[in-house]
Amino acid sequence: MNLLFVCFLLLFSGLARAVTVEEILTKIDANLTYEARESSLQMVVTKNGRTKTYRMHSFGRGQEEMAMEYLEPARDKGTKMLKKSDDLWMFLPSVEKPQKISGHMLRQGLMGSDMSYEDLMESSRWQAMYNGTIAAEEVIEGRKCWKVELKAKESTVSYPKRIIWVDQGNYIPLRQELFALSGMLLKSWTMGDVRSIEGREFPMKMVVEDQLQKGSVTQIIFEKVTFKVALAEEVFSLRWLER
Amino acid sequence: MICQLVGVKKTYPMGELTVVALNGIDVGVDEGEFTVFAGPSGSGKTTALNLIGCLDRPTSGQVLLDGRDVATLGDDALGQVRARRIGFIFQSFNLIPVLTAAENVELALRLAGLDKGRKEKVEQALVDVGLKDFMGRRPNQLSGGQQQRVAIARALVKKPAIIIADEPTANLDSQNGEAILDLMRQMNERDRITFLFSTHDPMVMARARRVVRLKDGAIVGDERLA
Amino acid sequence: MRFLVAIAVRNLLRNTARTALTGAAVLFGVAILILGWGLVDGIDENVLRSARGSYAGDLILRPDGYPDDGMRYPLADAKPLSDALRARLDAVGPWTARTAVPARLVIGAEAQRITIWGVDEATEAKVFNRQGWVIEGVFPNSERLDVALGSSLARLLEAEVGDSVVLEARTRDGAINALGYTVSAIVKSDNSSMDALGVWMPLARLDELAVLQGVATHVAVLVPKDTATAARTLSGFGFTALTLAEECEDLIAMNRIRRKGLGVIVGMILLIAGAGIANTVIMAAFERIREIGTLLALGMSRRHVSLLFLFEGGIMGLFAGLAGVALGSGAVLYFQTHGIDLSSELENVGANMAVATMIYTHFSWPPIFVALGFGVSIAILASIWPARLASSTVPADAVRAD
Repeated sequence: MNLLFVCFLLLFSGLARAVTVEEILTKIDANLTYEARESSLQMVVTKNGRTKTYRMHSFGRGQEEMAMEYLEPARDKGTKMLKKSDDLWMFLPSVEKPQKISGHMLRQGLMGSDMSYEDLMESSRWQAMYNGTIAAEEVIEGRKCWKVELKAKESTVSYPKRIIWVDQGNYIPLRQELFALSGMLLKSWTMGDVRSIEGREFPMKMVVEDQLQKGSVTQIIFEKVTFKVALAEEVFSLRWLER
Repeated sequence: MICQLVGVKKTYPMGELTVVALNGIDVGVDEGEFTVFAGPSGSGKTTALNLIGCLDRPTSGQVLLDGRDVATLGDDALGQVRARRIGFIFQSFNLIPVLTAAENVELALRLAGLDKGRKEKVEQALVDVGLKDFMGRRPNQLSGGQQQRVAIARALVKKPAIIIADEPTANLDSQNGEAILDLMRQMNERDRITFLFSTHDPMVMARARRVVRLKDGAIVGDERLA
Repeated sequence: MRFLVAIAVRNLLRNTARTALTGAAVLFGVAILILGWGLVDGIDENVLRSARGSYAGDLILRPDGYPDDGMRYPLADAKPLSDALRARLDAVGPWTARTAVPARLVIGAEAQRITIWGVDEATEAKVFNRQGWVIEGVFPNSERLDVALGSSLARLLEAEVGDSVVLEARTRDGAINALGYTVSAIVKSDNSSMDALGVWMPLARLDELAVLQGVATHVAVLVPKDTATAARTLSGFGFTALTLAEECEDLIAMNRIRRKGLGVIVGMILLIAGAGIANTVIMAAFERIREIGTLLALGMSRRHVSLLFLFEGGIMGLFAGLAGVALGSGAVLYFQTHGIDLSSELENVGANMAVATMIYTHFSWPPIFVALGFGVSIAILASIWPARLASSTVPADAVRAD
């Protein structure tokens, strides 16, 4: 009888807090949704002591559409990527036709980085995939954060557990930790250098660190971001990829 | 008469021209002769020897050997005639380089089909030319004079009807040349072997018993010496 | 005739350098034909041996629709074995089920995409006796969190027995999982792709990592006889059965092309050898024109002169051929017992094909007779024309030639 009572209490308190977590996740999603976005960025991939730097130009619209073109290094110049809701296409100048990235290929690291295509595509679906609890309030980089533990609702979710630290002021997840089913820490993901751009708070720097493979780090640094752009419909089409 | 050239003419095509080497000559050689065909180069003496030796065929006329016209014989039969009846001594010795002195001599016997007592005959022939101690040597281990002696032994061993020697001393110094001539003369006198050779050397001509002079493909003199 | 042979032999010894050089071409042609033949015969055996002993058995079952290209091992396409299938398998012969799971192996700062082979401890040994495997350390058992690494993989990552590694894999449902293991063995399995990309662990342990839900990706069965019939009785249970010969069809077909290639190469070598011999004999004929004239003057028939040159070519062909036989069959016999270790070469080209890392050549008599006959025939054929040329000279001119 006692045990049942405890269980009930736990369940009840969980539900009570879930409302808050729901709120937080909703805010995060809203924060990541743009009418339109254009940005220039750098991706620095470090592995085995070797560093590779990529420069790209990216366009985004809503949560579902994203287009990206590689500018540097020369070897990858002209490589393009297009995301439309659940679909992802790549265009390699050497292959002429755009290729759809699907199934197991989505699990590979983007350009050898620590972010998989899947990581990029899942970022805005936490509400659907996870149940959360607010575990604590902690200070990260001088900012007051909620520490939220997310547990996957289904066994098909790639990361069964995430812990995120969300800035209480601007709802930016300043830090994330991604865990394996066994509870082993797989990756950490931090966002920083938050700046106010055209009235929006935006993290200009992201760092993804592979916690299994020592010294494997990917940094994304935004050089220029603007939200007030009129993007042609064509940008998010296969035609743009081939152009 | 062992051999006889009757109206023998020999021409060679040379480009568009025809060179006349022998212009219809008649000459005969008897058994036991020691005869030289003398003349400057181009006189036709070598051609005449080649025809008598059955190394070549006349353009016209007859070559009679033992009274038989060799024109009727095929290549192989002619080869048999050479193997059995004719011995050759060449200006450049022409020994087979991979064979020893004895083997060179033996080769002649084999080709003549004379298998009986081959070993003894070879030995005797080499003893006769004074090369008893050089039987196992290869030609390149012998001096020019010695090589020509082997060639003489090779020609003699099969007891041919006639030995044809084309300028046999031309490649030897005078001392060795003399010795070779002495040897040939000695064999001629001892075994009555007919020798027919060519030269343009007056010293050699002086050793012959008959000198047939040729010039421009014709016989211009035929004298018998004492 | 013996005399003629003696002269021919001595003539060959006269210019030993030239004879040796020409003979070498025949020698190598013959040796390469024999070795190549033995190798190609051996490869067929090796392909089958390698596949049989490393993953296929005599009969391999994969879930319907599961790729058999050896490149992808999607766990999502794996299936459990039905009781009916198990009963059929029991009736056919010894069998074992395996589950292949794609994973990422992390050791220190290095990481590599690999395939984990989960093996059923209870039945594995009934099918795979691991003869010809080189196992350094102790093959993992389910008592501990141990793994065995393929030898090429271990070399690439500089991993040693006792090292700690992390394996990151997806569960059958798709969640990422990762666990730490100790390398208890380094395995050379005689299958280059498995050695380069393979990690072995007991199925029970793999279940913790990949939550297999009882599925298998491979079932290997031992049925040395009537394999095709057995394959038919095992189909229709959600799995597709291939006999060892079917499984290795592509590799065997490749070998057939290799066989043709060998023929072309050897043909070319012998053609070159033939040209070389013809050249040698022609040079000899021109050099020895005076000698030929002398032989003719002494009464040797044209046929015998021509025979002399044929003997020279033929004897050289025979001896060079015999030397080639000695060299070629020596190599074949050596590699028949010692094998040719291709693992490092295969690593260099990054071969992902399931080919044997050790190639054992196969000795048989036909290649020896064929090669020797070929070598001698080429040598004689190449001598015919020069011999004709030599014997057709006019003796009167030849005796005086310089």
